[in-house]
Amino acid sequence: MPDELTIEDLEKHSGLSTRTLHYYTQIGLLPSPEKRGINATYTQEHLDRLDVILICKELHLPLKEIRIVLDQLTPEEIKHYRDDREDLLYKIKADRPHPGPDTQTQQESSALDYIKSLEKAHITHRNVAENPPMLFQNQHTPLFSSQDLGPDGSPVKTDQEIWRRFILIDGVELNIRDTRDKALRYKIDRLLSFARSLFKN
Amino acid sequence: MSNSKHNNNLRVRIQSDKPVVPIGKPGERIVEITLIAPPSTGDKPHIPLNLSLVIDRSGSMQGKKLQYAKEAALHVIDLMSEKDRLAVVAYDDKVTTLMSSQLLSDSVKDELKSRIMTLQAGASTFLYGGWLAGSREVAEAINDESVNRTLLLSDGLANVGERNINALSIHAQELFLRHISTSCFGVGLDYDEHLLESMANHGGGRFQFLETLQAIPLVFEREFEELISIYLRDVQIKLDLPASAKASVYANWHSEMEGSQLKIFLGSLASGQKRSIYIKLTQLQGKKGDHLEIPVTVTGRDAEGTEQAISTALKLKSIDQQKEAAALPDSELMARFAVVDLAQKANEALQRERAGDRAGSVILMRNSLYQHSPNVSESDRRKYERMQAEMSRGLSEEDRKRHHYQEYQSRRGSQFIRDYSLDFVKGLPLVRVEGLSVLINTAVNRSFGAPNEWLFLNEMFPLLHQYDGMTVKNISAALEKKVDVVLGMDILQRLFVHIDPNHRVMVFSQRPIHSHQLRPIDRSAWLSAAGKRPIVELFMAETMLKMQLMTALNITLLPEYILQSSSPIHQDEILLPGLVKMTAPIYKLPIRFLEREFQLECASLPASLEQQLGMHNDEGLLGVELFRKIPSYLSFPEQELALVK
Repeated sequence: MPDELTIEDLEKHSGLSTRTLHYYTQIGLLPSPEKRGINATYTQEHLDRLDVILICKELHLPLKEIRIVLDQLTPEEIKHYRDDREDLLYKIKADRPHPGPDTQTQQESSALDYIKSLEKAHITHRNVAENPPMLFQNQHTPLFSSQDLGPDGSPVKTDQEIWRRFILIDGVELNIRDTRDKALRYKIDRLLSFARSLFKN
Repeated sequence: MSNSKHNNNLRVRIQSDKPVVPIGKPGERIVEITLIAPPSTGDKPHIPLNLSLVIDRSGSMQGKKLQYAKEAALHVIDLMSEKDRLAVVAYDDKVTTLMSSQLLSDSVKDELKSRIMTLQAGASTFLYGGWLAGSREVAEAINDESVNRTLLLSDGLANVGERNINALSIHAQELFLRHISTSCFGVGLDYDEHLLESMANHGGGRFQFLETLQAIPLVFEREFEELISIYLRDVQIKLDLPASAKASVYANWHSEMEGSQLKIFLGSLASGQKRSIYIKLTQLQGKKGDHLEIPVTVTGRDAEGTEQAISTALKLKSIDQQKEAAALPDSELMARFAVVDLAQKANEALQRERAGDRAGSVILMRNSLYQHSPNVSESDRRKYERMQAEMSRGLSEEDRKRHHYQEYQSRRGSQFIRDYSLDFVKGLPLVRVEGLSVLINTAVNRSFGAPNEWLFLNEMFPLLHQYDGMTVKNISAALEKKVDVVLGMDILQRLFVHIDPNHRVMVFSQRPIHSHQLRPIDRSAWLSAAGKRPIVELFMAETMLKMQLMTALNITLLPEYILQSSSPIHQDEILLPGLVKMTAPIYKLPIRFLEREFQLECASLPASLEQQLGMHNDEGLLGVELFRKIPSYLSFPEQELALVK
């Protein structure tokens, strides 16, 4: 596969809509493309990550958790897990001792487990921050958050507002509250890509 | 309808604004659930503590703040026993574990103390890292038997690492659900009060504002006291709601819905502690000829680790909707609810004000006040009206912190307790209360001062301009120091006061502050406050004397006949009540009080005063000298005076 891919290539490969793909980029599941706007180009790494995301989605893992899984992996590991589905399944289970329809999750993961997951997330978090092309900083949410999983393992809507912070350049940030309103999300997308292009140099 | 149930002396009371539910129309009820833990018996050993103390040593802590924080740490170490564990973590932009979690043997204590003394201020504030490292220490040493808590002290804004209030709160909550609670202590004026409070709320601990630096050790002592007097841990209230019903819990208590069960997480309950939770239930459906019954269960683990469960129920009678609408709500309950809800709204308003939305904050406050108007006390109404006026102008950082802390305490239904810095001016006790200089004067029956009204311990007090010919102006002149308020017996008689001349702190509280474990008071004197005159009986110069306690008198005045047998040490100027200056011979007399002996400076009681005292059969005036020398405790409601060991 050529190294310069377009958003259409990603769409074809994954069966996901452009909007979804943009959203994934926005929440940090996918790295930002090499170029912005219509000329945005993507790489094999994007495809590999997308494959892993799709597998995780089949396993009903919420996006927040998928991001944590991905953040822990190097590009090589992502390739490996893309090809070895079973291993990925094993890894997710190992990281999450009691997944699935178990509301006891929070009791059974100990305080120490929780802290370890935060420490891990913190390290990746720092790496992300130090990696300039990916200017997205997300509040990391832990693996075993009782906030995220309902009794059936699906994400639960909480009243908690989630604000995301986009660092455009050092000293310039945009704070945006998560919204379910698609039209608004589209506008925010456009605002972000415009803002980014403005500060590109 | 109210129902109350108790088991092993824990009392659970459940009540609603009206004891009924409408038929044919969805109804709405305000429900109050109150838990009252029995007072401490004092003889039980406390649950082992597993604590970690996380100290901010960022650059801004340099100087007195860090010094008092260290002193507080040493004090906590002294209070802990050898079956307790402690870890100490310090953070600036890096996190240093001074000592990982250990049982506190004497040698460990010494080692830990010397390490704490070496702490120096560093750079920026990696609050998250410090908190996480401290909590890790607790997590590694966690066991079912212990009380597990991280104590986080900070004076600044988190500026390194995670600093999102939601994320930090969620993490604190996740640890709380895993039996590690977090208490937060904000020092000075630069910390983020909403962040620290939110972490403590979600973390199942307490939030404390440390305004008076020299009181930091005392505040830590109180936190420690609460920890060792824990009666029930992991307290949860569970309500089994009817299928259609919805619930919302006030005052930021963490709650979850599991199917149709509402779970509220309260953390721990200390001995003697009373906690009220307010819930709004909506979509309640009555059924003809039937009661709607909502089962309520309170669970928790006691000192021995045994699960306790108390079950009761809220019963609502189904009645016709017109009758339901016409039924009068329980006005006392609605007044208590108004206090909590207004405090919550005030907190939101303060958040808006901080964000620059002054108009929004004022509107929110005004609407909330209007909504609760039939049930708001006069004092609260005036307080919030004043707050609105202040918010419309914009608050100073100091006022933001004070208002926020006050509303936090109201919301949590705590009784107020605050520490203030104390100075003795010409021997008289002058306290700095929120920017005002306050003279404590037990000889005055009505407080007076420069402002027309005064917000003190979350209450608005009207102030006279003058009392018995005295004004703050002439008092200021006599003391050569500005006095804004003279605090008299009208306010004092409802308070518990701890005077600590060593730390120069005066603590005012609406609840008793002596503790059986920490400061055993085996003897106290009767402090009568008949007719607002505080009277103490003490043994002086071989005679039992009935003395009126006068805090605004720098010397003790005795009838002539007591002094006859001694000779004066020198002549000096004294300031009599009513600010009359006179020169008099000064004597030094031995006094025996509560099995302790002191020397007090005394002078002869002028004839005019002797006559006044004679009307009440009082024999002399006990000045403030005693309190300049010895930490003491004055409990006006309990009519008790004690010297602290």
